[in-house]
Amino acid sequence: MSKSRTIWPKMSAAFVAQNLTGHKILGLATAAVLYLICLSGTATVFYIDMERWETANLPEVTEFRPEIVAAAIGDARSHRTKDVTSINVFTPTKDYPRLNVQVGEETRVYDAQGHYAGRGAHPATEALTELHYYLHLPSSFGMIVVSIGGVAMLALILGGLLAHPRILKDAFLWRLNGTPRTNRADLHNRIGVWASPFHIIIALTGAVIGLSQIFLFVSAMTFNKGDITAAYAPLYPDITAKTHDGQMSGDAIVKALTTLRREHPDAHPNYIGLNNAGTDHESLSVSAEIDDRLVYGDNWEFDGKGNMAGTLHISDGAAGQQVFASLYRLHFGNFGGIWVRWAYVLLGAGLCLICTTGMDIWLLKSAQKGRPYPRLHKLWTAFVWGAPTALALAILTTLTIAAPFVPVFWGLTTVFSLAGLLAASQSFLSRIGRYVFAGSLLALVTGHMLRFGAASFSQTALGLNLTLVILAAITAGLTWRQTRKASSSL
Amino acid sequence: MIAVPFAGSLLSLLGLTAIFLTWRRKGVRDRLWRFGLPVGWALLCLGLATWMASTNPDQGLALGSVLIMMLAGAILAWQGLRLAGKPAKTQIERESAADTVALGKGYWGRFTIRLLGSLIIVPVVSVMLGILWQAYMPVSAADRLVGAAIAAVFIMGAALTWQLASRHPYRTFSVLTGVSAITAALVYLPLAMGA
Repeated sequence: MSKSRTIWPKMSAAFVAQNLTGHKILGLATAAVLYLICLSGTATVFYIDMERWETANLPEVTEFRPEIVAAAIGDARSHRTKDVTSINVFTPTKDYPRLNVQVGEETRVYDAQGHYAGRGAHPATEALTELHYYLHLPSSFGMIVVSIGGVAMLALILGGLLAHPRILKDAFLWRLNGTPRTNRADLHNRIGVWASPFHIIIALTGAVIGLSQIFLFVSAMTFNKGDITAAYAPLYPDITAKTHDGQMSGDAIVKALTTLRREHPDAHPNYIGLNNAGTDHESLSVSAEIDDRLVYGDNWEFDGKGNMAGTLHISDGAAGQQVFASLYRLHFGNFGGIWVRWAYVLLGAGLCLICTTGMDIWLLKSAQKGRPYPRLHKLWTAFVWGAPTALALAILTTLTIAAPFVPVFWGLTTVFSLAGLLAASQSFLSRIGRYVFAGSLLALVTGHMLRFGAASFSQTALGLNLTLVILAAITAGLTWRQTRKASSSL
Repeated sequence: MIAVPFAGSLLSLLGLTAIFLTWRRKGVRDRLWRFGLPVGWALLCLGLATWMASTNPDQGLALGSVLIMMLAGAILAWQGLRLAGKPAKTQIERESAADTVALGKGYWGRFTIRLLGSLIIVPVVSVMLGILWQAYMPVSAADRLVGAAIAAVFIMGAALTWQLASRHPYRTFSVLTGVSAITAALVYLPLAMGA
């Protein structure tokens, strides 16, 4: 063994072995859940593009104009029921050129003139994001489960790094000519090391987003006599307008938005909320993205006459406020435009690969030691390819025949996984699984074309449809190449 | 200004190339390449710093990091598709050393204590340390709150790693329980006494 100097601290073999044992226990216990979270998270990176793709026939609005927002709010008012006290407007931005107004449960879409254009429901996107947020469990409980998955991922990363004494020297080691196990172990370690900043950020931000509710609850019980609002106050002080100016007119809304544009030209509104709708103390909340910042934006409040009442100072306030406001965008790659989202998708796919190779390494090592688990290996392989296939088919059926996403997805995932047990061999299953997945992606694109016709080729939908076709081609092509290589080496 | 991000990208690429070539050329014992690794990592840091200077530091750091990860991924993909090169050294077969867990005497006791530690004591100690942070850190209220929440999650991950990897899970469990109790006393005793 080399005695060359290293700047990395020396680690004893026992220490490495202990960390690998911990890494293995946690990895085996959480592999399937983490894989589902990573898979849905990778797909969710494109949720804003998918929302547009799912409603491809609706008009796009490229320019934000206060007048059309005021017109849309005016129209939405007439569709408000008495129990709805807020009207939420999602204004057009560079990444999301749509004008959506949410009134109660209904999302209404408006065109560039502020005229109503249709309903903006996107149940498949919603179900996909809910799979990532809650695994379709009851929301609060599900978010805690997913957040604990984030903590487990963080522990796996820490354990993995501690179990890797030659992390710097082996930065590119990949024994392609080695055994399947060493090949997978190297791939697992290399992606794990190079993408570790991404993995740590994803795990940490995900866990903090979910578990902050629990932490705030404990904090409120400890320091604020159980008052959650008071516990939140350092981050989100109450700046709502206290005046009673009656119902907000269209002119007042235009005045508020024009004032914001004049005083903060670098702020681009992405959300406007009409608060206390229908009462005599209506007010306006505006959230706006700030150029070249990671924070999701800043918030301004306006009274019923359109005068500025206050700002949260998120983008230029305490470091804690700025960090907290950056978590969401960091987690979902919502900064830097489409290229960063693409990078997040590739890095997310790498994370899925780490989950699958981790389990593979253990299965192959057990087999090498004379303790094979052929059924478990087939079940795992069928699950790995069955889950994304079920995801694609659940979106397809939701889109084309309005089938409920949740039972279709979980039903198909279960059926595919169990059907894997019937396969002749794991390698055969792996090949078939990839071809079926590629086929499901092509079916999804075909279903979209049947549903939306020419709109499938519009700027709104073409990007995502092409992405799906390319992904199907790469999956099928690599599988074919691998199969040909394997058969020629026999 | 595209020149500064371009310079950041170039420095990152040079850093990765230095690390890759050092590994490929068995450079760790070579005079010329003995500094390949530190130079490579230093170039990566410089690339990140340049990215941070190119826009706001927070967004620059994020964009620079994403770029480095993508470039490293591209090198790995290229390696996977084109190269079948052998590494500088044989990697130690550390994986085989890991399978030391056996169903021997006391296995189920250790298993149970690891499970209890992971599900109960680890969350308790991390939240308690977070609350301690919030109570005593001499910074603004917002910084205390967010710092405490992030610290709690990070401590939870680290404590979970320790509890699961420990050769003496009972001892680890006891230490974590003790830390929880001391932390709770430091936070709640002054509050109970009206401080």
